[in-house]
Amino acid sequence: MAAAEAVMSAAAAPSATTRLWAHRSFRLGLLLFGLVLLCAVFADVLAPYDPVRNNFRTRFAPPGEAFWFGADRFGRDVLSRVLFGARLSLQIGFTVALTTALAGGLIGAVAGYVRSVDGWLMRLMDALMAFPAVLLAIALAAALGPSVTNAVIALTIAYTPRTARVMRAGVLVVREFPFVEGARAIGASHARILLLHVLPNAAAPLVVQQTYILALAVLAEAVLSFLGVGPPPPTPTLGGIIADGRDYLIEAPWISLFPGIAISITVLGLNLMGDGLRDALDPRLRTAIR
Amino acid sequence: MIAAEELAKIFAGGVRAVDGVSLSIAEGETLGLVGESGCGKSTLARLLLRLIEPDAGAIRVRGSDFMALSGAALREARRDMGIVFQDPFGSLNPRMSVARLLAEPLAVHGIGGRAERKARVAELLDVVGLARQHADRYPHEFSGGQRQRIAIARALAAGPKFLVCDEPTSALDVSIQAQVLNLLSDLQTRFGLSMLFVSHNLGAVRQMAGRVAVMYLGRVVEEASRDDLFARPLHPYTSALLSAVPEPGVTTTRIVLKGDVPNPADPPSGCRFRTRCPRAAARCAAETPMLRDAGGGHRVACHFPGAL
Amino acid sequence: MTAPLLCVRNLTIAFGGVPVVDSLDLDIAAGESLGVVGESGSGKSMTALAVMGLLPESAQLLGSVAFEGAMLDDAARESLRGTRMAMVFQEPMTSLNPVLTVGEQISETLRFHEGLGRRAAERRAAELLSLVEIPDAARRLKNYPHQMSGGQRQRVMIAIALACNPSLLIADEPTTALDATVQAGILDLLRGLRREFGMAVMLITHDLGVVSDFAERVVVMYAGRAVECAPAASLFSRPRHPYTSALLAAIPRMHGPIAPLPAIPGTVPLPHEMPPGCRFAPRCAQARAACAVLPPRVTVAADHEVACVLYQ
Repeated sequence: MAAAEAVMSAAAAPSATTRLWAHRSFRLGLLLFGLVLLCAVFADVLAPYDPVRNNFRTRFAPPGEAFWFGADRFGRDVLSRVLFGARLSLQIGFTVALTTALAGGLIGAVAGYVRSVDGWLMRLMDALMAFPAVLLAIALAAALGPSVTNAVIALTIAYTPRTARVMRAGVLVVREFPFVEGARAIGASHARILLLHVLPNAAAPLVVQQTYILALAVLAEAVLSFLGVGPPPPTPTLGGIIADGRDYLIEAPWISLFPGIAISITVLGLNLMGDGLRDALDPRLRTAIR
Repeated sequence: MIAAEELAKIFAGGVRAVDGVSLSIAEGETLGLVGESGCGKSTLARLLLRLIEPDAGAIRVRGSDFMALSGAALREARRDMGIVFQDPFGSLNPRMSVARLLAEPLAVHGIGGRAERKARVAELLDVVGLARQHADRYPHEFSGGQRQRIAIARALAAGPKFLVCDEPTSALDVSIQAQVLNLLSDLQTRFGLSMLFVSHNLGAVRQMAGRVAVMYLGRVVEEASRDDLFARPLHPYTSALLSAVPEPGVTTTRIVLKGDVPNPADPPSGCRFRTRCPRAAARCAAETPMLRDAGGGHRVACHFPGAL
Repeated sequence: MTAPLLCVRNLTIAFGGVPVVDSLDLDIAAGESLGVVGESGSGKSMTALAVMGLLPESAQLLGSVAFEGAMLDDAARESLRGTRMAMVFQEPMTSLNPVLTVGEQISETLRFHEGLGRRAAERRAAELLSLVEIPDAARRLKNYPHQMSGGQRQRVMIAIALACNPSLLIADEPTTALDATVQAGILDLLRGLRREFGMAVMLITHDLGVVSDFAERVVVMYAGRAVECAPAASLFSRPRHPYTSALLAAIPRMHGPIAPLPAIPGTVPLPHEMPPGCRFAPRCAQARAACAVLPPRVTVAADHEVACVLYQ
């Protein structure tokens, strides 16, 4: 039976990277997100105009040859603003994904490994999770004041519990494997066991989780900016641009429309990539390729 | 080499996994530990290494008190002991190469520099019969038997004097079992190891051990030299167990035990085996039999010992 | 001569073009107990699944399986499964549904196949439980699998298999996960049931001791092929195929002198790396040039066949 399974899995399912590449959703997600990422990275090269320069002559210019995405009420090019806004959103998003990985990873790993602190650490995480993340972020950002740094701090606090849970779950499972007992048997210290044996094996689901967190962070940052508690104007933020266009939805819908599309594509792309990663890394789904 | 006295471990729910076990293993000797599931033999093996902390009892390693150690001293003492587990697939960290796995015991105890460790890794691979090139491969690239060899090499890396083998061949094919058993025998002779060989496979235990202890529901019910135990079992459970194992080409009359193994959280009073013993009498419920010498180092815990 | 109950001819099972069972012939007479012995990679479990029609969809099947004289196709297997042919697996904990009571699971078979009403099914379920020697059967019907011991769960599996009076019971490693004393009880039970119902049993195992104890005839499989087929007595007293002898020699014994075990060098070849000709040749102490060709099936004695050039 075991040999047959070995044949089935060896013949039908190659490595994780190949499976990933074969995954339709992942490819689509990568395409979408990659597009946004490239635009954000090369914003200064791609943007035709200065995103913060006002020009009253071109106020409310509809999308056309001069302004692909139209112009807003200060005459600023919406396309350029969206490009730079995307850059800022992604910068914040990546930073939050990183900080939550570190903070949540640490908390979750310790909670999963050290039984005595597990209880109150996870109660703390549960308490934070009881608040809808976006609301919590809004409250924190409002309290701290509008700035990029404060937005990152607020979002990190709001989303760390999710990462902590995922890491803790992984650690709880890996902790029971015989090789962990084996490491203790050779005299390894707990720190060594946690860092070299447990974490490398428990961290895989974290990669998937962080793609979702990135998407959530981008979305949440947009909400913060929309409400005015994110990075302050005139810095272009996707949420801020949508807010600018809020009063002109009938006359100049393009102001809110294009940043909205940008956010949607980013979040969709990330979610599809996350799904692809999840399926590729799941050992049970080895023979199925979607 | 290692002596344990009145070791006990009670798990949550009142399960008396090990209840007052005393045994000793001399240098270079192999003690076989047999019993069926739930008898506590795996727990006992781990208690001896303090991988599970005993609730009661004493352990002396080479005369010094093992139970008194803690922290760094305990970890250092672990250098003298090794363990090989049953599951060849779960007992090696899948993300570590063979070289790292074998070098880790050396790294933990600060033995040798990089060059010496590399040499030792190559030496260990030779000793367990694997090719030196295997050092850069990962566990999933090997078969079950090969992984057990790697596990054995890792257990021996720091040069221990005491090796615990917890069902080392139970998950392997018959033809591979023989290879691994031969290897363990060779290594024991070569390095003068003391060994605790835990297994439910009585044939394997007979092959490996000089003395054998039989456990039932957390207690040792019989202990004797290998030949004595297999030829003249004195405890009814041992007789039943020996008769229950089928051997190719051999017909034996089976002694059938009635009933099921009692709940380890609520064992019978007195002799724990009495609910299934064909010889049970009133005394067995009232008085717990102690391990007594029946002559020639053959100890048995029974009020009415003798062949069934 | 009466036709055998189960007649497997030239069975080949492949996955992605790689065969895991190759040209297997197998016969079981009515009421006979056949032991199928092999290590991992021998294809013994796959064979059982093929007979029952339980192979995964990706499996490619060649050859024929005839049961009670009639060729089996998928539709036939569907109707026979659970009724005339039943199977018992290795891990009773995962083979039983943990959220249904034991009674419900036995009744399920009865109600599905024999259309019994709830009460009638319950009564018959209690009968079956006492048949498999579970005391206090009526009360035990309400137990959940986790409330029973491993041996008892396996007995429940056997009860489910017996529900519709099968003429063939296939047991795939039924006692491997059980202790020696419990195993002895299960084997005794199977023997008793065979006698009482004239049921044929195909016992698949890697344990030669179990086979010696239980089976009347034995098929030894290696790397997807049958290498020897004989009555149990002659197989164990005079094994012919080098693999069978080597396997028997490699088992540590409870009696007799103790010496280093003559281990079989090497490992079973992977399904996609099979050597041409005799698959055991790379590990065989008696291999010769002629082994590079598919070995013939030679009848060496009454009912005793060996696939080895040594006996040509």
